[in-house]
Amino acid sequence: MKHGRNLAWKLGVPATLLVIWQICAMAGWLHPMFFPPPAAIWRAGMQMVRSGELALNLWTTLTRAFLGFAVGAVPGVALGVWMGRAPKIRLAFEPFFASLNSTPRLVLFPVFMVLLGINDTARVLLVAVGSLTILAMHSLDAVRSVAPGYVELAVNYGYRGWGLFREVYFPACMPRLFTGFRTAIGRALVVEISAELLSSTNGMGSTIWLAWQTFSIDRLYVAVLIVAMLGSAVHESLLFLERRAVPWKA
Amino acid sequence: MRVDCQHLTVALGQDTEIPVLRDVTFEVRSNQLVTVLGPSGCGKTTLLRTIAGLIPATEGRVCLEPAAGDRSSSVLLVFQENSLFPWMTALENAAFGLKAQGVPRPEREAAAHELMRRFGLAGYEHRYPNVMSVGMKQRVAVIRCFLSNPAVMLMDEPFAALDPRTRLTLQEELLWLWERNRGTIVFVTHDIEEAILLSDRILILDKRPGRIVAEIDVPFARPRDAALTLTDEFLALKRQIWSTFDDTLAVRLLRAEGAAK
Repeated sequence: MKHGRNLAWKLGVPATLLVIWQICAMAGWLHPMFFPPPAAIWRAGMQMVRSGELALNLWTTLTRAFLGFAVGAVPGVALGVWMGRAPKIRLAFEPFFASLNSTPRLVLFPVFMVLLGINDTARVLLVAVGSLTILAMHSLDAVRSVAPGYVELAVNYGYRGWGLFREVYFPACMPRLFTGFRTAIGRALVVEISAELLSSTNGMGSTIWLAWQTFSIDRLYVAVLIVAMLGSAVHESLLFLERRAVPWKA
Repeated sequence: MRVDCQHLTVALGQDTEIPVLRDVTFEVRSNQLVTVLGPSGCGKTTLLRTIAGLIPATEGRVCLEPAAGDRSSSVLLVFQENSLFPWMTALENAAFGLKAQGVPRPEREAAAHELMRRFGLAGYEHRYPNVMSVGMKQRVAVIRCFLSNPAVMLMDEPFAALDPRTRLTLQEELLWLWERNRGTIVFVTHDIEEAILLSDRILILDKRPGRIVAEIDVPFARPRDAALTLTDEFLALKRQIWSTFDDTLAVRLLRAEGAAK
C-alpha cells in the first residue's frame, strides 16, 4: 500500500506534464514540428517497438554499459579495499584515482579509439575506467569509515584476516558500496550513450543522433524519454536490491 | 583465571609527563568480581584495555594466570558504546561469540534464544540494533559475553548510559548470570551503588595520574539483589567510599542524613 502511494507520487509529476503537453498541443499553442503531441510520440514509439528497432538498440546500450560496469567494478572494489587497508598502497594510488575521477570520461575516448579502433571494445573500456574509478574511491571511503570499535570487538572475539573481513569490513562497507554502485551504473549509462552519440551505428545514443540528423522529432523524443526512464529504472532497481542487501539501514 | 597487575604505568601518545595510569598494582582472584571505581578521566577504560592487551603498558606488567576449572583462556570486553554490530540481528549478535568458537548455527542460536527469553528479549531476536533501546542492546552484549564462557570478562561501564531503573534491572540480571556461570570479572564504573551491589572488592582510582587510592572489601553475602541498596550497612559503606573521594562531600552527606533522621 505504502509502495503504491510512493509510486503514485513518483509518477505524478511526469504524468501531469504529459497531460499539460497534450492539451497545449491540441489547443495549437505548441509548434507541432518541435513539440509533437505526446499521442504522436506514443505512436512513433509503438512503431519502433513493433519493428524491433527499440529493443535491439536498448539491448545494445545496456549490454555495453553493464559489461563495462562489471569489468571496472570488480578491480575497482578490490583496489579500493586494498587502499583502505594498506596505507602505502593508498599513498601510491589515491592521487591517480582522484585525478581520474575529476577528469571527464569522454576525453579518454579519442585515446581509446586511437589505441583500439572505433569499436565496442573502446566503448566498453571507457565505461569500465569510469566504474573502476568511482568504485575504487567509494570502496576506499567505505573501508576507512568502518568504526574501529567494531573491528576491536571482532578481534576481541578472535577474528582475524578473512574472518574479520567477512564479519566486519564487508557488511560495514555495504551501504557505501551500494551508493558507489548506484553512482557507477548511472555514470556507465551516461558514458555509454555519450560514446554512442559520437561514434556508434547502434544503441540508444546512435538512435538519438540519427533521429536528430533526419529531423524525426517524434522518434527523437521517444529515444530521449526511454533513456531517461532507463536511468530511473536502474536507480530504482538498485535501491530495491539495497533494501534487501542492507536491511539494517531501513 | 587470576588477573595480576604489577606496577602498571600507561602513558598515551606524547604525554609521558603525566601518564594515564601510574604504578597500579592489584590482583583479582579467579572467579572474583572486582569493580574499578573512579571519576571520569581517571584511566578506568585505559586500565581495562591494558589488561585486554589492546594498549601496551609503558611500565609494569599484566599477568593472566590460568586457574583450575577455567572453561577457556579468553579475555572478553563488554563495551559501553558500539557494543552490537548494526548489521546483525539481536540473535546473531548474542550468538556471535559462539560462532567465533565454531559452534554450529542451530546450537548457538538455541543457546542465545534461551538467554534472550530469560532476559525479556523474546520477540526481539530478529530485530536490528537500530530499533532497540540502549538497555536492550546492553543486555544482548552481556548475554553474548557470558555465552562465550570467557575466563575473564572486562566490562567497561556497560550500564552507564541507562536510566536508574533499567540499570538496576541489568545489574540484577548480571548478578543472576554470574552466580550461575562464574568467571573473573573486572567491572569499571563511576557509580558507587553499582560498585557495592556487584562486587566482592572495590578498587578506587584517583585521576591525573590514575592510581589506586583505596581497596575496599564488600562484606555482603551473595546472592544479592536491589533490596540491599536500602540497608544501613550499604549506606554506611557508600559513605565510606565517598569519604575516600572527597572529605567535604562526605561530611555534607553525613549531616544531611543526620538531619533527615
